[in-house]
Amino acid sequence: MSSKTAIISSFIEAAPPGELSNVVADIKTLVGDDLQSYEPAFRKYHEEQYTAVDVPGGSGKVLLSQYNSLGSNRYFDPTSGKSFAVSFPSLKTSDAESHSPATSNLDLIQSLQTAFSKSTIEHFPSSTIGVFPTGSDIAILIVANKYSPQNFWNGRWRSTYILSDSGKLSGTIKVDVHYYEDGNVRMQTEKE
Amino acid sequence: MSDPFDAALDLLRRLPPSQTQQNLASIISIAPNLEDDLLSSVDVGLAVKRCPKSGRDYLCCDYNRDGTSYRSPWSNDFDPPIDPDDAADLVPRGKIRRMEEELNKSIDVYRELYYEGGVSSAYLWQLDEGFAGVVLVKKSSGGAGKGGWDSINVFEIIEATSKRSAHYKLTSTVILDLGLRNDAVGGLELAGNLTRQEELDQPLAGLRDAEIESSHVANMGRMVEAMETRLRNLLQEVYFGKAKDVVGDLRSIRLLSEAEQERRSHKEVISKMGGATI
Repeated sequence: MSSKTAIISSFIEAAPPGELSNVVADIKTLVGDDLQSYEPAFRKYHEEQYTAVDVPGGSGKVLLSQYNSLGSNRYFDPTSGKSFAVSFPSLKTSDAESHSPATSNLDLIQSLQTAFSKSTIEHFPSSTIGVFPTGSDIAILIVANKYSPQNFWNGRWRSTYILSDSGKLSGTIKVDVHYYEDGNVRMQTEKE
Repeated sequence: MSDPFDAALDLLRRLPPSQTQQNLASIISIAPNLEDDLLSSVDVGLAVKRCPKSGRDYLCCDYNRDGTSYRSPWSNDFDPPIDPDDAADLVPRGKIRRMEEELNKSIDVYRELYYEGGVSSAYLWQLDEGFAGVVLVKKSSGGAGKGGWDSINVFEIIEATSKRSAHYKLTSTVILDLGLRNDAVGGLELAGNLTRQEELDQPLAGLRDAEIESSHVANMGRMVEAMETRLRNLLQEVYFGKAKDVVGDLRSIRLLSEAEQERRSHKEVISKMGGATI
């Protein structure tokens, strides 16, 4: 039987789209713990689910992911050229600094970001894009969420593409749908 | 601050249903005082056991359990055997056992007709007023596309004083687990449970006890059949229809600007028709 921390962390990481606050409220009622101790679980959840946060002092939103993480809860945004701190679980951003990512592809990254933001409007009613360098490759991330808790359903689409140095593009699409009217139905798919 | 039991139930409704069994065990380990309440109110996939006396399989649930022993509906014995004093209270006899035997026989036929396989079991017990029961059916299939169906139909029956009819309350839950892994689709996991209720007054034919008992069994069988068919269709609609709708809302297949254009011209036509005189 795993430890309490492992169990609670697994609950946080398995929360359905749009329902993290409900899961957290339930956990609090059950164990009454201070949630700060589960910071790693929250960080993992947000990085895996591509949660979008406001860039402090900036005008846009930026995704949180493993690709733009600088460690110690700091993340960077190539579009605005800033890095900033994020605190979990509150997701408040602060301490913006100018930051130049160590990559030779900065122009390509910025133009990809603009291009994708324009074209995804044609298919995604609401989405956030993230283009980040990863090693010598470029990661292109798309996350689209639709929450309808009054109708008892929520969904999230996550696309992750890696554009390699040699120009090869590969990726995975993950869709997570939760429907919970008089029941609990969850669909999770992964397609390469 | 809401009640911990409600919080536990809410949590189980949000976490992936394919892991309900493990999540239930986890929650019990962090909140052990909720164990009894949770085990009796949360539906989990049913376990199958083989009855040593009759050699037939039967399903295990909270209603035929005593500690770690389960009662087989075929032999009416607990396996492993329990204390005879407890057995005197828990093992049904007389009218209840007769109905239970008949119910198991009819559900067995029903199962073969609709499921062509699987395992079924039914358990009845006396209440202060009337009696209650549960009808369970389980079927799994494996391979590249794996699936599991568990249905739990809980009855509460109160006979009218005239004994000409009875009031049946049925709460049915179907737990359906589907998984597919191949090159075309990638990985797909679709799991969940749905619960529906039904309350009905049905007539009881005959005057002798045996006839009334048969009537109960027939009425219960009919209700289970109707409810499971309803749930089967609802599952199709909800699992596939709703999931497809949500994915469509997340990312449309056709260009959104085209769809918007079509909507606008449609609106124009409608408003023009409204203005015309007939």
